[in-house]
Amino acid sequence: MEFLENFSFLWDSVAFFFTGDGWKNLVMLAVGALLIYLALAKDFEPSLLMPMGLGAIVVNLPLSGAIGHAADGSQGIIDWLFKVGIEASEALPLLLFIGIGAMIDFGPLLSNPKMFLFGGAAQFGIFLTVAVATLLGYNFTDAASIGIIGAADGPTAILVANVLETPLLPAIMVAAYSYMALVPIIQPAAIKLVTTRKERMIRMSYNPAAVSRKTRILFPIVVTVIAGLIAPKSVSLVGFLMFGNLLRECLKLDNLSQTAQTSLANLITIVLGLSISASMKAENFVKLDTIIVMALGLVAFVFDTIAGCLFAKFLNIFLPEGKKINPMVGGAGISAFPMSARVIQKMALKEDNQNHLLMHAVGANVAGQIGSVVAGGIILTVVPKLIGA
Amino acid sequence: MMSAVMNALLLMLLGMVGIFTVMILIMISVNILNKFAKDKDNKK
Repeated sequence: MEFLENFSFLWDSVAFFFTGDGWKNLVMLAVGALLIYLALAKDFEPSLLMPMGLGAIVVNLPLSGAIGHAADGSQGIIDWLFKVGIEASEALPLLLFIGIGAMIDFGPLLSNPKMFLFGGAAQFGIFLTVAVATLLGYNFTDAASIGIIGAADGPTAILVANVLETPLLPAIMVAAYSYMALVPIIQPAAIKLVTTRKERMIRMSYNPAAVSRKTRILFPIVVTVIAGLIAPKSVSLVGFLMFGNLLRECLKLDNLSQTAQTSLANLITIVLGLSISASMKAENFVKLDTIIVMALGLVAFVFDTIAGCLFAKFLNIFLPEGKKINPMVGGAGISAFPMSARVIQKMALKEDNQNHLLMHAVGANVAGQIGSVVAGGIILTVVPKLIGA
Repeated sequence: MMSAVMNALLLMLLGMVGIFTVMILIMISVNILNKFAKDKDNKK
């Protein structure tokens, strides 16, 4: 009998799910399982959704040792990772940017610089979503944090939402990564909404100009200085992204470049996914706000794409026949790289099997990488000023 | 709520102007780099 009493905590654990708000933890276990299913069975951003899914299960088990408990003053490893790596320093998302920068070849953009414009236009969804969120009653900082889902860039979304100290951080993180995985479904629908078949069949010749090594080396430095002068808060984001790119392009630090692209990026991804799950505790996540944030995130992605397409159509008014831009390329100006460029290439080939837009779309897509971090920096610069903080 | 909406609209204006300013400045810089920053091997 005494033996059984020693194991009575097992019964307490099971009973926990069925008393008070315990059902919310049960819901989170299901959410965790769903994320793992989407990651492994549907191949949706597996490197992040899998750690997040298992993390969601770990932090929502009753009396989980992975999270801190005020009652006994304990500090679990996942809470510690979140506090040190994200909350206190934003180190994890920023370090991930070094890896991302080292992975990106800006060549297609440097040889066709007008694609930079699409990297700007396709950030419109961010700001439109901020406005929509305020109309729904969210305060300005929460609305700005929701809007940044439209950056289509997980680390930027995490960093901005964390700096703005929104309680909606977990929903924003899940939305940001989920929608990135859903780009192949969201973008074609949004593009078809605002383009005709004739427009989608516009062919664009690709005659890339040679890009010198000097240009490739000076480019990350120039971008950091310009972005830093106009949006000072973007320096950490842009600077780390461009540092990674400089490692790649200088050709003197191949070992460091390879490490940034592989070991560093992989390590940070593993730790980041688990750290994020600290904010997926049932009491923070199972609420109506999460569903609204997910819906607003979709609005942001859709209007990013639409704005990119419409901007290309606007430019076409002034461009002569033969120089017109396929509006789908504008839609690739979001930051989801390289998924968005691939989607555009696939759509172009579906309409006309000889229309190869991949390199144009890649140019717009990498411009979107820069555009999204600049948008994040602008939000971090402007929002505190507007609220007088 | 009205002040939040006004702030959001102002952010939209400042944000898009800011992004396009940054992107256009970078675009101009890249055009200049492409024109003048040639590698020694490519100089004739």
